[in-house]
Amino acid sequence: MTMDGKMRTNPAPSSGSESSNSLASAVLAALEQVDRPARSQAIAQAAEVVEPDDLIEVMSDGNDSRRRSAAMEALSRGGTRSVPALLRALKDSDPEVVMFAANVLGRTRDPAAIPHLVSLLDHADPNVAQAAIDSLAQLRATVAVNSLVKILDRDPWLRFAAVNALGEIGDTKAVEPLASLLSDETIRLGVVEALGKIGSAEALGHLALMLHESQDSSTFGACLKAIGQALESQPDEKLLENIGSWVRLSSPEATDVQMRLAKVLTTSEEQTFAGDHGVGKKEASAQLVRALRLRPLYTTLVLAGCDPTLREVLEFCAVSIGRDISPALGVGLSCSNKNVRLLACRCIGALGSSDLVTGVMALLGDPDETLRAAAVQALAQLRHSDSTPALTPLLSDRSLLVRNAAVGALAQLDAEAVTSALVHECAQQPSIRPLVMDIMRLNPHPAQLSFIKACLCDPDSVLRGKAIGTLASHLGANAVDFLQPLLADPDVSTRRAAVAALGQMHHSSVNQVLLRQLETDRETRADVIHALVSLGDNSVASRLVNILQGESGMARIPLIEVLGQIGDPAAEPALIKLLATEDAAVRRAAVLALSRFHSRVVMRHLVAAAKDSDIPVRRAVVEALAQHTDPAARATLDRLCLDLDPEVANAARRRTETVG
Amino acid sequence: MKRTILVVDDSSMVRALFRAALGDVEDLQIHQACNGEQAFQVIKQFGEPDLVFIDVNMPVMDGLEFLALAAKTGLQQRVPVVIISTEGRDEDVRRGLEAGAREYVRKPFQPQTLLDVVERLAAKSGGPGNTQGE
Repeated sequence: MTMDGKMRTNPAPSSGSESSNSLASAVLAALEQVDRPARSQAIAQAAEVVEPDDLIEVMSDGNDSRRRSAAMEALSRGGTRSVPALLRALKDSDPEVVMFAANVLGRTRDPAAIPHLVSLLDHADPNVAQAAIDSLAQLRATVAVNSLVKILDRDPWLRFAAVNALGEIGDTKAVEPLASLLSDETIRLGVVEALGKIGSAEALGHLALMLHESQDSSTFGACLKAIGQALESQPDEKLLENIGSWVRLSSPEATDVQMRLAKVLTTSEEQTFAGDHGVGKKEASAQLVRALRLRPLYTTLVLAGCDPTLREVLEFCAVSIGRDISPALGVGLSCSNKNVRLLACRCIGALGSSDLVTGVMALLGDPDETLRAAAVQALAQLRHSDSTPALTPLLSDRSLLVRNAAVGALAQLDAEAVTSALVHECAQQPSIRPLVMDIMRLNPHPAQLSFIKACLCDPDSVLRGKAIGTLASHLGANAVDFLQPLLADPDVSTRRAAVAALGQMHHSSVNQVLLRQLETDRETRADVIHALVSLGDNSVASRLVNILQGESGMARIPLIEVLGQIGDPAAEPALIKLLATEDAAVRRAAVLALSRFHSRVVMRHLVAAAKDSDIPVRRAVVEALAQHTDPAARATLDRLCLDLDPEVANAARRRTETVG
Repeated sequence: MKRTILVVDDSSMVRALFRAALGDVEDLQIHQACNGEQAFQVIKQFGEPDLVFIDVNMPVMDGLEFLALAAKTGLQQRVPVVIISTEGRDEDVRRGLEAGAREYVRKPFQPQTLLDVVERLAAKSGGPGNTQGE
């Protein structure tokens, strides 16, 4: 604030200083609003328009904590813009102001603040020094590590702050100074957490030693969590093999540690700490078992799967360990807990442990649908074709999840075995034939043909439709003779399926067959046109024109639209002729179709259509002419800008601006 | 049944200090939040704690605003709230206690101070007071 009490603001090029001042004053006043959304908005504005020195002044006033917090937030959001004012505030005679300024400097994320914060580490007020330490941590100030290390022998408050900051900064230079404090009970847990955050091999070594030597459960738990976190920074555990204390954890002399790990994994209750994003003790134990390959704990690891929240991490651990964990997975398959069975089943599939296939097959009858589906997927992953007869009955399982899993599995297993089992199953359960068609399409075999052909004649139209698609994928163009009779099927969906299948076949007879269908079957006309276009038939336009000329009324519109899409010049005369038809909707469709043609003849007729009495037609003419660059088209568009109908005139103006 | 405390402070160091100081207490579970708004979210998700420690000066929602809202919702009557703050002038303490805080702990404090407060308030209700930090 200036001497006369006015607010300073950033100079705004488009507004005078008075309005800037009043805006800044209003924003500053809004910082004390009780309504939080309004205050948030004021904070965001203040970060941009209020002079940081004025915000510092608000921050320095201890009488309104809400306003102070809001000013600090605005200064934080201001980032680099706030830094010079905050650095000036560090020289304030009131330690509280210095402390708040130091606190905000960390949140500005501007590394320029680092040397100034380092200079505060020796401040007489411990809260100021702590604020500086916290901010150095937020700025990940590796250049401040040596200065922070020097604080490790100061009073407990600052020492703890420095330990925490060194962990947050994560520089390996801090490992040895931190490790030297592990013997100090008053700060040990903080040091353990910090070493876990640094996560280097050296830090892990110290944590492994501490884990081994810890007597009390809190140190053990803290070490465990820290190791879990450190292992996240060590994706390749082989690189840890030369760290003695780490390797010793897997030796017989660390049996007591292994027993404690087992206890953690089998404890039913895992504390969930809200707001704590670190690694849980169970998760960390599992990672230790994995990284150290603690074979005696493999079964415990699998049984820990009774906690469904651990499934992902346990799956990762089991798959990382590899086939060595198979015996433990076998135990898991017969566990009474369904989460453990599910974990074991998924891991067996992922590892390809074929020796456990019997146990997996036993789960096909599990009362839980998730388990039945997982067992089906595992058998598919194991490529266990001998299980096919056991899988086919699951195509009529009451659970959609299981049925879908069965389709997926049978599409991957040996086609001959699958075909035999499917045909056999269909004799028992005819209702599964549509699903069987899907499987046969995905997993073809010559032995399926007679079955598929039989389905083409089935009274069930859904099955006939599916059989058409399957036969087409099997035989390709050779299926034409089988599909042709189905173009006369009484069921339209069957005829459409046959047309769609034929549209995929590049065969000389297909186009003739489809063109005949075009003239004889209105209900499949759109499908036939689509098929002919996709086959690249250049005679389709003239055929369509013939059909168009035989039609009347609105039935002509879809044909006109398709002719526009094809854009074949053979359709130009017929479409132009329609510009004179009585039906305005047809004239409009013809104009829009002609917008795809770019000949001068078409353009001249579109220019003439600009005088059409119907507004939607003239509106369509605007769109059509906008596609042309010819001067006559531009002149007509200009004239349409003065059309008596405002909608047409506006559209023409917009288009003129766009193309102009 | 474990006692639960909720620590609300935007400083990671203070939250870590609570974990280190109270992590040893067998029957205690520590939940954490970075500001008053997040504290209400934690309470909504995990239920009401037995004791709340809260800083005054925090972004988004500060400690006094948390207390005002806690009074409105009735939370303040059920759960003791203790202020932990660097702002240690008499009027700061008075404002905190008037807003409904059960006690006012000045930073820096010793871990033992936290243990004493927990044993005093998380176990039973106590009257308003002012604990001087060291």
